[in-house]
Amino acid sequence: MKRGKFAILLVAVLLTAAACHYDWIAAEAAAPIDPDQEVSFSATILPLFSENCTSCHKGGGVAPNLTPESAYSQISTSKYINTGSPGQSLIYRAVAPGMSLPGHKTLTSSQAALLLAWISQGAQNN
Amino acid sequence: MKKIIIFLLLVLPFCAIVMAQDETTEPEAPVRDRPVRSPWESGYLIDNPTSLIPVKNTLEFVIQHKFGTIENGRSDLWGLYAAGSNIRLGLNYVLFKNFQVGWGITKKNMYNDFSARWTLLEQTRANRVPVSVTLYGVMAIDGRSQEYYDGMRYNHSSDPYHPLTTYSYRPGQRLSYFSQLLIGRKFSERLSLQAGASFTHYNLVARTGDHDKIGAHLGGRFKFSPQSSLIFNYDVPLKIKNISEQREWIAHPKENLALGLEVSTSTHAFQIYLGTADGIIPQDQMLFNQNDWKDKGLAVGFVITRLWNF
Repeated sequence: MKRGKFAILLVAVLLTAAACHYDWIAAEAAAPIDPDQEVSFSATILPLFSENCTSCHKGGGVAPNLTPESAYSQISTSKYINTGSPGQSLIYRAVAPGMSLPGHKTLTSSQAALLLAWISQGAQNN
Repeated sequence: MKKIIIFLLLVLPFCAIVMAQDETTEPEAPVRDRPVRSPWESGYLIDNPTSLIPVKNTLEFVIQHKFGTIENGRSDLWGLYAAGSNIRLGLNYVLFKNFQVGWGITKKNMYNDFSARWTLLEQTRANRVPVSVTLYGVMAIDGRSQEYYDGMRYNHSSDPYHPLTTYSYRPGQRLSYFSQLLIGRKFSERLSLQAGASFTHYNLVARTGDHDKIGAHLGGRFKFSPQSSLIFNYDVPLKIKNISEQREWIAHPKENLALGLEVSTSTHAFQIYLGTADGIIPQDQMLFNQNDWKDKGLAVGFVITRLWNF
């Protein structure tokens, strides 16, 4: 019986030790964005929300409401946007590759770069 | 050294299988100082375990549910009708005296978790043992589809910003671990408190995250009628630079605060509460909770347990 107990312990120890990794979700390389190119909220960011976010983030769904009629007023607060440190903005961190919240939809690197550029340009309702 | 500490923290709860069995063969003390009666009403205190383990061969079924946060107000009935709810169904079985094993499945990330809980010491009525000491361990497997994992690239190096980031998926990336030591005391018929420390490890995290996290835990109940109690728990993921892999914390997990009401009978416990964490398994709460109780990040949740003896 004692041998059986030690066998169980040994298996538990080996399984635990062998299964311990330190892996990271890596970011894809995104195509660089022309700094002079203005990113439009209505033409670029809203379609991106509609394509990726509004199935959950809609009226009566998970906040913020990202449908076209509500998106700007819902996210233009310091909770979601930090124009001083665009990369710290929750609206970006929640969906950026390698940074997104667990279980949350992740944008492609190019889409995330557009979102970041829009925030960096002042997050205008343009 | 770090690896040895992590190894010991992860393995310690599972050693209970061997030691709990050995306990039964020891001769009894001539004068018995029996354990205190009902230090807790169930094995759950909202999001934490307690020292209470039912008698040997008891099967426990548990339903844990968390609704969406209250931030949308009445538009989704303060989260009750929100899309972001989470639920876990679990079964626990008492293999030996004071030793329970369990399995559960959670909606968020389709976690399959396997747990072991061992109450090493029980507080006694004559106060020879003034506190209870409990060890708890959970190993979870992220059960999301392979397509989810195939859609990402991985970095196996120790540096999250390492340029060589084209490594492939490996199954161990789905695993996570949680180990906890809890010390509790029933101060009176009305008041019981427990405090603890925990270690969490995820095999795969985002670039901005940490693989390891040490946490502190506090919980308690205040019994105001024979069947009803006010309960709370407070879990804090600690910011410890020595074990962090980040130069700065961008999305450090938020603390989990929960306050609730417990109603119990001999075979049932029902707890309803308002709390912050959207995750249910402890490692998810300690590493990924981004709900902030100071910013409408609270959600209604409940725990129901049912016991059967064999």
